[in-house]
Amino acid sequence: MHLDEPQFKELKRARKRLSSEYAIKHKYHLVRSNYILIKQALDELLACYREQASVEVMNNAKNKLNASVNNFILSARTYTAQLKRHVQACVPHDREQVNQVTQRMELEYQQTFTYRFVDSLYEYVSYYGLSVHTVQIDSCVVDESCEHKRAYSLQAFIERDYLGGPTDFRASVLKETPAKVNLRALLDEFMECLARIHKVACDITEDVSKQSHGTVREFINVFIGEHGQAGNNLFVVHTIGDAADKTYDQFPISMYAENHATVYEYC
Amino acid sequence: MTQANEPRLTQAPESRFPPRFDTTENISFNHRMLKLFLAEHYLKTVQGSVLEVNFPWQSGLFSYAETNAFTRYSDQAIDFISVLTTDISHNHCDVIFLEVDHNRCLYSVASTQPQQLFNALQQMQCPTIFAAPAVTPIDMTACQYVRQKRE
Repeated sequence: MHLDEPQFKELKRARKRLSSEYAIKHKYHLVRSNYILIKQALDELLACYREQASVEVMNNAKNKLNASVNNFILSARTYTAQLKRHVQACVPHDREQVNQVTQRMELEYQQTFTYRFVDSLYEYVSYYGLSVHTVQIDSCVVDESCEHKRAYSLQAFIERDYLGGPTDFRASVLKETPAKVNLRALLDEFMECLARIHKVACDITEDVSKQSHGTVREFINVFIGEHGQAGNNLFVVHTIGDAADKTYDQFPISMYAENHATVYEYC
Repeated sequence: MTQANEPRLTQAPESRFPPRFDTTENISFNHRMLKLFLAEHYLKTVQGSVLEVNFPWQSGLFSYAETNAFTRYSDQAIDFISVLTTDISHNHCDVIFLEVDHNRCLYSVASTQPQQLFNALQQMQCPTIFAAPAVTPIDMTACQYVRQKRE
């Protein structure tokens, strides 16, 4: 279906806004998924201990835990570092709204040690490739009538002494770091901070994304009107001259119209 | 709000740990520590005065090349609990606490016949894994002692 220039520009702008909004949401889901993976890795490590697994199995479980924490921290940084840019792409002329996002992030940083600590962990983890220093497993006798029943629980810690000095870890945060940081508590609180930031971003981009979605939907419907069923994937292609292989620009649009990602939002 | 860890119940009969004891194990790079605490329910019936019996490990026992060493030796330290209470003390003492690290095994016992225990320890053949023990009396009840150790 042929498009004129204003139509092309309109679609392109809609797509830019939708892809930015989706980037925010996909990256938030990434962080959440990594958070869940950490919990699973902790459970796995506990199971290894409880079942007295071999050294090799135990080491694999420890490495998996370390990997999952590192991935979490990297994905959290990817989210926060690029959030402002994505919001800006959605509301390019509204500086005040964009500032709301940066202000929220600054507020979390100022108010919560947890947020500062996870933010600082990024440099540490990128350089040393390590996050969990110590693991503590407690077991207790449950049900005194049957002496062999035990309940196990596991805690993972990041220890200040292992972090090093001011050249290894952000000095201002290192000063206020307690001797041991409990990983689970740290992540739970950080996810709360991130959820608040995410809500600010979602609220700002909501109207714009609805409009853009409407625009894309409209074009697709016109296409269907002309050609019958659209199939799964429509693309917009900008070519130069008559040759179809001289593509100047190209982008998908169907993925933004029929996307279920926004439906299953679980902030 | 943070969530507490959810303990998991297990039926595994071959647990490393003896019944009646709660445990805490710390695992870090070059540092391992295992503690056993007599559970509150059983502490209530314990009588006698508290003694700390400190067995240093025989030197050269732990080579860092062997990753399993700590687990193996701590298992032996746990086995020694029954030796202490039956063979050495002839059932006149209860082990209320055990702490194992790379340097030593500390057995805390409550004994109704502390002098007899002290003599038996002096005279016994020391197990090959241990060096000679040092005994220290503690001026606390068994309950107070274990509670303090848990902090």
